[in-house]
Amino acid sequence: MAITIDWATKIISVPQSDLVLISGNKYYLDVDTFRLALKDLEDSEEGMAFPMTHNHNSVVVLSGVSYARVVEIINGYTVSFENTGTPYSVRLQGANNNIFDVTNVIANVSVIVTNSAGLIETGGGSSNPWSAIVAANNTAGTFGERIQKLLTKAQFLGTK
Amino acid sequence: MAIGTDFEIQNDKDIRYTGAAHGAGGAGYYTVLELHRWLQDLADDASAAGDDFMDITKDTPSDKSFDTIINLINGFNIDDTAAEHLYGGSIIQSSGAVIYDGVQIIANAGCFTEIVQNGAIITNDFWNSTPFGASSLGLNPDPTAGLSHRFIVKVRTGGSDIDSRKLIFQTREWGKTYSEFRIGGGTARGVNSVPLQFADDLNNTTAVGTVAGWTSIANTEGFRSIDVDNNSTPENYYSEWNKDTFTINQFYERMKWLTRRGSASTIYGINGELFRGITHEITVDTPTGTFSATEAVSWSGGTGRMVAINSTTAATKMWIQLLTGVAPTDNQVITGGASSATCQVNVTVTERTLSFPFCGVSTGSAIIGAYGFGLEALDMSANDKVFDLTNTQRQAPNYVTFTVSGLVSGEDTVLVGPADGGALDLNQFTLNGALTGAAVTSVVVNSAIPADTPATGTIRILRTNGAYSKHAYTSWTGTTFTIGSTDFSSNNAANGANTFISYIDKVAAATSESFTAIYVSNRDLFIRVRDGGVTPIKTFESTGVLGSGGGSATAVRTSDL
Repeated sequence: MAITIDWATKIISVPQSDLVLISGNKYYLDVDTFRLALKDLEDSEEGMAFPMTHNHNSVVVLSGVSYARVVEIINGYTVSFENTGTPYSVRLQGANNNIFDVTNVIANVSVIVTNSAGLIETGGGSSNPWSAIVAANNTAGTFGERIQKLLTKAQFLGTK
Repeated sequence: MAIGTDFEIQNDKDIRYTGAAHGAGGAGYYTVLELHRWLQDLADDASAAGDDFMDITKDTPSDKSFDTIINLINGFNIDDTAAEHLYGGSIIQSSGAVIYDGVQIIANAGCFTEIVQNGAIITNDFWNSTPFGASSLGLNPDPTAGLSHRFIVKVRTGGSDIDSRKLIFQTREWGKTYSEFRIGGGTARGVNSVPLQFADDLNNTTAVGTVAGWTSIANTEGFRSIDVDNNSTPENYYSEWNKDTFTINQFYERMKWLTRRGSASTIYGINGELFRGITHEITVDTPTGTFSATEAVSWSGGTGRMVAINSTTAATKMWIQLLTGVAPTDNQVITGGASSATCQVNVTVTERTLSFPFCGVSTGSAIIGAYGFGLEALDMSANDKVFDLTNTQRQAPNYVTFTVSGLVSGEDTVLVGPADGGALDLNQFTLNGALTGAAVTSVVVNSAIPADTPATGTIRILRTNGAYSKHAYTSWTGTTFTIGSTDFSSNNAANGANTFISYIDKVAAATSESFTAIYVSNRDLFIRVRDGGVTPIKTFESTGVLGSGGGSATAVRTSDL
């Protein structure tokens, strides 16, 4: 078997045989190999009619440090790992990726993300959350939402 | 220089030239009247002197009918060498058994002139010699009168006219205009005027050695049916040239190269230098045997080269280039030289107008074809005009080409399809009826197939499994594509399924790929190039326009390792 794409449903199917066995029921998916397989499918006769499956940013070396490649599944494609009937885990390694985000829930398969962030961007446009715009941080369950729900001095006095 | 120093009269009445050779200092040239005057001057001398055996005791050597018609009588005669040094009229000798007629070429100075006599070029073209001290070729020119050459040509010998005294004068110099003048009724006594055009051809400026290398321009000779005007009714021509990748003007130059002076090329079985095109269209009947597609033909009184016949076994029309003699007449039998097949002239023989060069005229960006001259339909643009074998003008539609370049052969896969809103237009058509058969050959869609669809190509059809399968079509009309027999019995294509034309849909076989279509109106195109091989690239996607001048896109190949 090999990685396949159902172009109608946009589901990328990954057979267990395409994973690398670590030990026991632990496997890993080499994300770079995975995305190259996708590219090979994209330039096939069938694939040419469809949008590309992913974005890829290669390894970048900055000041002597190699920053990992990034693979982002796009255009509505999702990933399904093979259900062999026996539970197993898949570690995604070799690239930062969003595969976990687009993985279809399959019984008996657990996906382990190994993304590693260095310097990251935040919604405020800065790495310092205290300098972000308050009104832009109202996602339910976040500290920003909590702050905005606190009573002001005037509101507090008004309740008395 | 007096004529007496260049000529002698021998004891046996031979009048011979003894002067310098052409081009050498002192070479002498004299009118036929000067020759006559000189002979008469000697004939009344009391005694012969020097190398001239002529005096009052000898027979009268010449007689003047007119200043331009001199009869050498009583056995006096000139030879061909002496004739090369005379001009301005005719010399008749041997009681009329030998005739040299005068010719004057009306052309710009330096017009290299060839003479075709009895189906062959006269190899001894002494008239093209450059006189000593002159700046351009041509014997006895008279620039004031617009004459580039004056000389005499032997047209009768042994009591018989050479090919009825017919002569064809032509100039086919590289870089110059080609021109021809035919004395079809035979030369007349005196001076025959021959006008020729000889000027720079501004559409013929490529070095001759360069054009010699354009060997991929090729012809399929014989009767050819080509739908030049794309009206689904092919017209007939006597050639189908493939201009390959060359421009139409380069093609024109190649045609000139093939038929230039000194050509070693063979066209329709004859040397290019002698090829002129169709001179006669002949209606024929009662065919026997099987004619070759092209071959030598003959009849009583003439020969020719058959360049096309509308049926090799049941001919009703034949097209020839007349080589010698006169065209055949009603009921004369025409015989194929190679096939021995025969047919008879059926009343009508139509003389056709020639073009020089034989292909027609180039405007620099288009060709105005000669009678019956055909090219491959897709080799012509909307500005080109050709004339079929009925002499009806035909004009090609505007074939335009869209090219995707910047490809790596054998690696890149290219898809060019219709665009809609900047994306691939997957539903350019929808199927009119599901495709479920085991041997489907017709794909019917719900809207008319646009006129700018290539005659052959590929389409994509959405199948049940969600993939767009690729199918080559061999023709289309109305709303129907004709494809090779395809099994749709499983993985059907549903009624209303998306279908689109994939104008280019292949793995690149060269650094560029293209398709050609008839321009109707601007068409938006979507271009996608991928390489998922060992040296992958990021997907290249772009849009382009197939406009009145065609269109192009250059793939940007960004490594994706």
